[in-house]
Amino acid sequence: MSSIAESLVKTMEKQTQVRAARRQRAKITNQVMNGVFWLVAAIVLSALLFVLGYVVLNGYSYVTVKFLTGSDFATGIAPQLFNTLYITVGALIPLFVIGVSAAIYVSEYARQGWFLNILRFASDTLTSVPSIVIGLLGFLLFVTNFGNGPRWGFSRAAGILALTILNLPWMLRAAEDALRAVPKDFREASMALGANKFQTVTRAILPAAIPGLVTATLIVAGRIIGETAALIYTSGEAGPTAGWFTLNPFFAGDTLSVHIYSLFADNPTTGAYQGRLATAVLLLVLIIVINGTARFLGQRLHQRFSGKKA
Amino acid sequence: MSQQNSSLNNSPLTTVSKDGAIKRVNEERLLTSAETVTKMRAPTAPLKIQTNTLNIYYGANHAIKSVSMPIPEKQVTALMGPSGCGKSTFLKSLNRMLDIIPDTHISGEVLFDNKNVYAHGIDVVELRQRLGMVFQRPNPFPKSIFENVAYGLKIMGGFSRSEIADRVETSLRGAALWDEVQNRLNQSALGLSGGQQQRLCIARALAVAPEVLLMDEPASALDPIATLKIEDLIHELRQQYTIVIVTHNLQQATRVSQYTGFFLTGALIEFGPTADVFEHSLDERTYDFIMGRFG
Ligand SMILES: Nc1ncnc2c1ncn2[C@@H]1O[C@H](COP(=O)(O)OP(=O)(O)O)[C@@H](O)[C@H]1O
Ligand SMILES: [Mg+2]
Repeated sequence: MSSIAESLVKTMEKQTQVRAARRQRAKITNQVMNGVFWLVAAIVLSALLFVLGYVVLNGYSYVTVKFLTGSDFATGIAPQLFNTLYITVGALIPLFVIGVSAAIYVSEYARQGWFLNILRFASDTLTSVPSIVIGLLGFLLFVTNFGNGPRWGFSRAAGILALTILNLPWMLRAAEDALRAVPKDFREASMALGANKFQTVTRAILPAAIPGLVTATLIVAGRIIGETAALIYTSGEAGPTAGWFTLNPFFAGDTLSVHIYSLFADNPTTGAYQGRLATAVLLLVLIIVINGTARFLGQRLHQRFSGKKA
Repeated sequence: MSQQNSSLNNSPLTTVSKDGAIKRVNEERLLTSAETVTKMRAPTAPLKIQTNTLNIYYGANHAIKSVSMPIPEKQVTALMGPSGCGKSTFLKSLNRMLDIIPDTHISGEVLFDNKNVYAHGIDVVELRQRLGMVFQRPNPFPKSIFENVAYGLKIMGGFSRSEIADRVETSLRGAALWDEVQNRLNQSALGLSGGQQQRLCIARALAVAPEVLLMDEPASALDPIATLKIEDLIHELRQQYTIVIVTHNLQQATRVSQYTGFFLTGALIEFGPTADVFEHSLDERTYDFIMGRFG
């Protein structure tokens, strides 16, 4: 048997070897992961650039004043711009009210239990229901009377309701995240000053969650603007080309996304490329602006509310 | 016993326990011997709060074990003990902030001006305003300095704008912060330094005219200079308020407090005037803690 000192020296030598090998392995793993990371980043970025580049380069020259202000199918886009705004704002209002209330309930009031589990399960399931199915539901419920004769007909109201159902789980999740991001400290501070739960929610938690809620709303707005399938069945493929400038919710009205689809459906292989591309340019610009605003506002508000940079 | 005669002048390194060995204290083993017997040197000052055989459970975790502790009026009482021994839990039980933690169970009494705060018909809102609380991490709201201090009054309602403005100024003065912030009352409280934020939180608690201030390691997140300011402030506040302060800083306990309670795994081991507890511990575990043997 070797002496304690010898054994100690041996063990230490062995340890040095093992550690060197481990460092070497870690280094290789690190390099591989770095490579994978850069590859993925490059793929994502080039996909985005390709879509943007293709659509914008081919379509920007068709975006003219006449196109923006005209209302003829395929040569004018004014009604679609208006409808997009109308339906987006129209859906965001109920989404915000219901989504934030539900999020307050879930994050501040609900006890863990079967009810909350069912709510979560329903919400998660709803997020994976294809939007065309929600569109069909909207068609049956709001456009027709369950398929037996008309109810409202194709209408912006039907579109707004379909989009509300479609996006509710997203709004709920995003609002819940925003509320949970508010430090627990504020709750304690408020309660310790004698505030009840409702006062704590309205005066301490909601104000502190505003940055997150604004960002959440804008992200949902981006989803709404890009939505097509749920609207084809509800607000309709084409609105009137005259008299479209009205706040009446029971008018049919197509959004930019739906418009691209109808230009295609009308004449799949030949015509209206210019209109489709130009509309797509507008849509992309809108979505980029909204996502950019969401990021910008989120960071600015975060700074203001936390006193530090994000 | 030898340690009763030892003084604070003995450095922890040169001090040995009575059998001559420097050993780590096994808290659990020691507790089972005389778990809930407190070595008590009762205060002579009139009492503001008295707990009687207070037991607190988080689910099955018995966090406070039969604690009977007096808290004298207009004195500073320090709670010390190793981390996790129940100091914060005990503090939160006094103004019923424990109520907001689910699955807590409490037995025994907390007498505040001789009325049990857990009795039926107690107005918890009023109770929490009479026992203000200051937390470990400064936690001002993301609002202006003014709005932070005015929060409690606005929650209560019924105060005019000028009454609120008056009260905000008095409270900020009371918290020794007025001179630093009087020209920026409408700026965000989050722009203040950590020490200023903590004094703002004290002002916020003072605004609703409490009788007691419960402070949970109020200086542990602050630098030494800000800490000294808080300690000076505590000296000032003692003229008018009863203060209970949790601290794991022994020097701080000797600097700010007149009475000290020593907790170990949920039990109150020793209570008495701070100087006596530190210089003539009645319990070996208190002595070991003060000598830095554990915790
Ligand atoms: N909110 C809580 N839920 C469950 N257990 C808790 C909670 N807060 C504290 N505890 C437990 O109660 C015991 C005492 O904790 P605490 O009062 O925070 O100790 P201290 O303030 O002395 O560090 C610990 O065992 C801790 O794990
Ligand atoms: Mg604590």
